[in-house]
Amino acid sequence: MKKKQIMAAFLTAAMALTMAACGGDSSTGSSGAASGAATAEGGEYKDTLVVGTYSDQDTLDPQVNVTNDKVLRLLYDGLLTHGEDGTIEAALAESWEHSEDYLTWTFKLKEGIKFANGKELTSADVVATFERLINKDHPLRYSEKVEFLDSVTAIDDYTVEFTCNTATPIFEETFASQCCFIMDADYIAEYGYDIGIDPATINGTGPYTVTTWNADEVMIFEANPNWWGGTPGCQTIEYRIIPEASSRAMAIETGEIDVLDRPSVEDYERLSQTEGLVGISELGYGMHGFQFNCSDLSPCQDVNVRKAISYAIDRETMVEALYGPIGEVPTHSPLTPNVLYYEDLGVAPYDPEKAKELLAEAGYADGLEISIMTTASYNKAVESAEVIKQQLEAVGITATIETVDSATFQASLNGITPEELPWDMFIMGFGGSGLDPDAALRRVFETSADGLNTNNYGWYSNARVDELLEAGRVEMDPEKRAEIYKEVQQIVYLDDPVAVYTNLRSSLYVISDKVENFGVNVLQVVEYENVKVKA
Amino acid sequence: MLKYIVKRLLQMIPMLLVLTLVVFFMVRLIPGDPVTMMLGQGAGKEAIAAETARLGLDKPLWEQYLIWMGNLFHGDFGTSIFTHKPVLYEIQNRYPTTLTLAVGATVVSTLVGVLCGIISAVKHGKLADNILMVTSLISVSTPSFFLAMILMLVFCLWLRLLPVSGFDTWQAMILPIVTLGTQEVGYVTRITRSSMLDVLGEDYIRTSRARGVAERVVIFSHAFKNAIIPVLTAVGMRFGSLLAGATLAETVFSIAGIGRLTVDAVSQRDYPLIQGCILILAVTFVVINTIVDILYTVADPRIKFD
Repeated sequence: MKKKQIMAAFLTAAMALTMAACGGDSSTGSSGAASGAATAEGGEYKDTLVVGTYSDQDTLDPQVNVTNDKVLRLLYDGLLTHGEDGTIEAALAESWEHSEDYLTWTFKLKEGIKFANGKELTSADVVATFERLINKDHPLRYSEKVEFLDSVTAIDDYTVEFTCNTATPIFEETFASQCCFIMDADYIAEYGYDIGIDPATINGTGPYTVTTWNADEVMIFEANPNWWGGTPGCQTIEYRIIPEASSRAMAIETGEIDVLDRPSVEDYERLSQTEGLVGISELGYGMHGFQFNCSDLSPCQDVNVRKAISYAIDRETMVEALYGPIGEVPTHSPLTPNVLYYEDLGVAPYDPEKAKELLAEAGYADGLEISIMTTASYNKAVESAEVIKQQLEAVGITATIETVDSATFQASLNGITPEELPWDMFIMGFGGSGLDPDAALRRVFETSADGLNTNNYGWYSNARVDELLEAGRVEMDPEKRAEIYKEVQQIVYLDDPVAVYTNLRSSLYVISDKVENFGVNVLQVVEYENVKVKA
Repeated sequence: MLKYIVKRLLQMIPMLLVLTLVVFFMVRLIPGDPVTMMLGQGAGKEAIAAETARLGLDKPLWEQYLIWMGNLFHGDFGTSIFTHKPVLYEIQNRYPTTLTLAVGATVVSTLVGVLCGIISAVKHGKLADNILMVTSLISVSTPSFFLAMILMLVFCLWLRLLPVSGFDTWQAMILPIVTLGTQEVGYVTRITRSSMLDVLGEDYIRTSRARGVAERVVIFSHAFKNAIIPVLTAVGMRFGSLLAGATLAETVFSIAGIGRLTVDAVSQRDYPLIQGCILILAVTFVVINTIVDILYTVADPRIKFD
């Protein structure tokens, strides 16, 4: 009798637990519905492209998103866009013109463009989008990018006029970037600052709409039936979040995913040689480097110390060892090659003897101690710091390395005083801010006005650079701008170095050989609407 | 019994109060803050200040704590700084997955572990015992990350039987559950074995055997019934750590569970979400232990709560 009671109790407990477990399951497993990727249409191409990526998006609000720029362009378009070679082309705009003083810009919209929900795009949407972005009472992540804008007015249903407080050569470049993607005015009115937090709050004119977003699990994009650009290559894109690099690698080997976004260096080498898989490495995604703390509290305030450190580091050997397998090379400039007015200044020279001389000149003949901050969030960033530490030792500089997590990293590079930043050098990712050098250089290297490192993380200060960057911001003549930025690059890269730039990064993918038309554009973003997958 | 349960639940209140204090102030002691993390590098002073004010993070700490506590009493856990969604909604989305994972691992590991433990105890000192003890030692000491990778390699890549990622089909559930449960099998085997060995040495077992009771009945009914209490305690205690420790299996198998949610919340300094996750995990832990206590009375009617 008692035996039965015990058994009954056990069974009940087990059943209750199992039921609780099963009950929960229904809310989690919605990726299954869409993972039937193999339903071939016409027998030739698959309906669904499955991408395995490393992290989820923070938000799909283009004026706020900081995670990465890989998804937003599936959903939205700007008035302007970049052509294949990086020149500015019309997207939602039919045509555009500016006044002689560059203070008034008038855009004519293409007629008949529809949002994913079928509503027609009019100037009201453009006005609402930009009013949200330039609203001084609620500055957003990218509001600073359009600080040159004063107001936006609808002239008629298809004409919009922008007035600027200053003439700027970066107007078009800014308007082609993701922060100026056009959103639906009705959605802005309804969802306000909650736009982009889930599929119901998103309505764009891009090739896809997002139908499912299970955080940290999967995003499902369906072709936008109203897309003005035609029909995308795949009906569905399943964007799976697979945080662990080795799991991602295994997923492409088993055929669970068609595209692997960002393999580890080791996996890339192996997978590229696996039958049926293709490795894609496109140089120019950005750069890594170790920026100097130029504040009064660091020995790196002395230009000779910075030059000495720069001369002490053999970038060719270092980059070959760490990044060679994925085809990355040392940088040749403080800009990535796709940016306007890029100057190829070669690899910064390696000369340990010169480094010692400069150190002696700076008064550190007997040695110098510095600290280096790095973070494991960047590919091989810890290893890079270790190589630098070793090479510095050879010229008499003793470095200590501190590895921090990404939150500490972000908080250290965001409006603090020199007293609060304990490192003499810190890892930094450069680039990825569009194709105009203004965005890549001015905000980050211009002398900080208030002594905080809000954008100029290392308190770099050079009067000539300030003067040039300010001139570049308002100079409308491309030839003169080229001269300006040539000089800036020479100064911040070699003469008064702002950082030890190390490797030019590449966009890394491994794809199945069934995937067609895959490639990154001039902004290093995959144009997924062109991609097809053979069945 | 009811009185006991109510008493246990009431005892939770002061514990949770202390926990809210600890969690609230601990997360704010970690360097870094959610606003700079959310807005990214070079966000600009205005945007940072506006966001900090909007989130109320510019208020004194004690005031923030009181506001949070006040909301808690109304069942409002706050809103995630990153996803802009209610903390409870985020937890509801993630919790069942992890619960399934932890319950699955517990059920499987308990069944296997108890069986192995009994066999080991009955065959004490013989080959089967030695093999099981070595196996359980291996299972306890295998790092789950390593195990997960090996399992994936064999079952996903070589045999192509199971998927690498997800938790939406029963096939997808197998490897995460095995990964999480393997260490538990070792623990349960060892505890069951030693507990059974103690009981099997008791006089009443010898008497039963002398009376000619079938060995099967002696072992499963007489001995195991009395050996179950330490096993129950161990399984109950380990369940909590399985819930909180599922993060690794969740990461390797790309499962969106509460473990990853908590770890991500910590790395993003999403204060309300960290607080919510830890509170919920703590409550679960207490509830599970209460259930285990109640199961004691079922297993051994001599145990009374009054």
